[in-house]
Amino acid sequence: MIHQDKLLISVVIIGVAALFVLNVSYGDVSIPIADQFYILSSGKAEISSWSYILENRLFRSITAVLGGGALAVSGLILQVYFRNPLAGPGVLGITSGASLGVAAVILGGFALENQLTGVSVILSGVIGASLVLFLLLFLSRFIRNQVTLLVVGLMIGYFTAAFVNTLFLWADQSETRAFVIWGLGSFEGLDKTQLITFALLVLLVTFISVFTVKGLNAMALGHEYLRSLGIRTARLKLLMIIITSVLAATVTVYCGPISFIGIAVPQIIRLISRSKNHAFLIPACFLGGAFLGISSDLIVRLSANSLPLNTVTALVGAPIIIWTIIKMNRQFASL
Amino acid sequence: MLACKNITLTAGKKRLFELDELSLTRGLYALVGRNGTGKSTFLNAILGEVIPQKGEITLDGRKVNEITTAELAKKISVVRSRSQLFGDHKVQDVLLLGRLPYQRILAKPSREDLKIVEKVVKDLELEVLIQRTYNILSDGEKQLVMVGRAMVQDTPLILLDEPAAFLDLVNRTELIKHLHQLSQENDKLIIFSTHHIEIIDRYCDGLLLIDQNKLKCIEEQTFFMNEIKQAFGLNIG
Repeated sequence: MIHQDKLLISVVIIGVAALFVLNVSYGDVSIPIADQFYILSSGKAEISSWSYILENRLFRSITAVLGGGALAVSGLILQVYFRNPLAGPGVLGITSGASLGVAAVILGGFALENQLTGVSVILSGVIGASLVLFLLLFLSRFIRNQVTLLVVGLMIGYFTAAFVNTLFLWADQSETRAFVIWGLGSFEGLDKTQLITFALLVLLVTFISVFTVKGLNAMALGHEYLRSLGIRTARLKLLMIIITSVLAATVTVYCGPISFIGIAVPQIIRLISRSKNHAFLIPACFLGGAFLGISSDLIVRLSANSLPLNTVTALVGAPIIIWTIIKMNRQFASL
Repeated sequence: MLACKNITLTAGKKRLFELDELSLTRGLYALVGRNGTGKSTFLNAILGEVIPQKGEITLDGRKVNEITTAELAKKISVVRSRSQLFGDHKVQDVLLLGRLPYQRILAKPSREDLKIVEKVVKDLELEVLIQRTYNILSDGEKQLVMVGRAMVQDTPLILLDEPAAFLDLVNRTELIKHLHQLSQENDKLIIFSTHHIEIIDRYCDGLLLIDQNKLKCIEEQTFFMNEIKQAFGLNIG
């Protein structure tokens, strides 16, 4: 690994670790550090409410790290596969697809209990996300312009949102309310089983992405080079669909549709890392996503949970995207 | 090494051309024909990406569409007409991509990979470009780097789809000279499609001419221009 990249990774790891500790220890209820260690290691607490509070902080911190990482990896693979620096699970409508799946289950009353634990919710989220991807892949045959693909993605997003709104007609008020709150996005509120399912899914699927390393490296040259570089195109496409839709859908199901992490992080990591090998870029993006995830959650908590997560991610993400568009324009102008 | 027999090539419902027999082993061949006659389709058929309606294309006696992708990448490398890279790759990174077929799952370059890149850099005199960003090079420099990348892939057959399309006359001649030298010194078979007929008669060992839905191979240099002029209905000079 090149010196500059080692430095980058070290800084991000230290940053994530520091913010993680801060996010667990900081809060309205101050618990002495010694007690925190005791509670986390033994599971017992002098004051029983402390253990609940700490567990809540710990769980949301883990969720933020994994969720941010998952979105960033999903965004990286989409950007490289579509060769579009502005692609991401949010803008391409993949998150909306997952939302539609979730809405169908929650609002349509397909789930017997109104909870986000069920396999049915995850499954329908993944189905919704991958359906959007199939549609995009089909449409991308006719699209030559990078911005057009994004507009199509945004339109798919609006279209699915309209569908969701229609589902509201049949839903009763409490279901609607649950859905609206979920839609604001939050890393909070996963119980132990949910957290374990979430963590396993994210880590497993992120691990599978090592099989895309060579294909993604070859994508720098373009689709028409894949075969002559020994890449099986159908396999790469399948892996891309599975990885990006499962990661985006898992995060969407558990944390709501979170915007901007999936597009901003890979954008920055691809820019500042010297290595172009995805064996480095994938883990680097995961860490970068984790960093943005946990820092966003910390900001949400500093505002006493009054700022929705999506507001915070938008504050960071939107400027990065505008900057990218300007940079893209300059590049095309020079052609 | 490359052999075609009784080929009928189509694009959708459109019949492109027929080819009775072609057998090439080494040298530099220019593929010439008017727009839409099937030059790119032919190159893609050699790659096994397009399957001819009739007949078969073989590499060292094996049908191309039956060779595994991993193996094929060690036999054929490709240069497309205008390659824009996704990412701010340095020229060094681009050249290293040519070693991808030889690398394992994490694409870690071996010492040998780096050595091969170094040799190609020397052969094509790319030293001044090596640390520069590919996307901001001139078209001529880009194309030379892409030829370098194909050389790094170290395959007996190199296909180039209109490599000279965006180059000026000087760069065009330079590129063809490099290709000529490459085919001579390294014993490779190189096929490139082109519309620039003025550069071919000095450096090419053969002309693959698509005319009236037939592909014919002319290996006598002095006939190149006449054949092309006849085919295109030109009566210049």
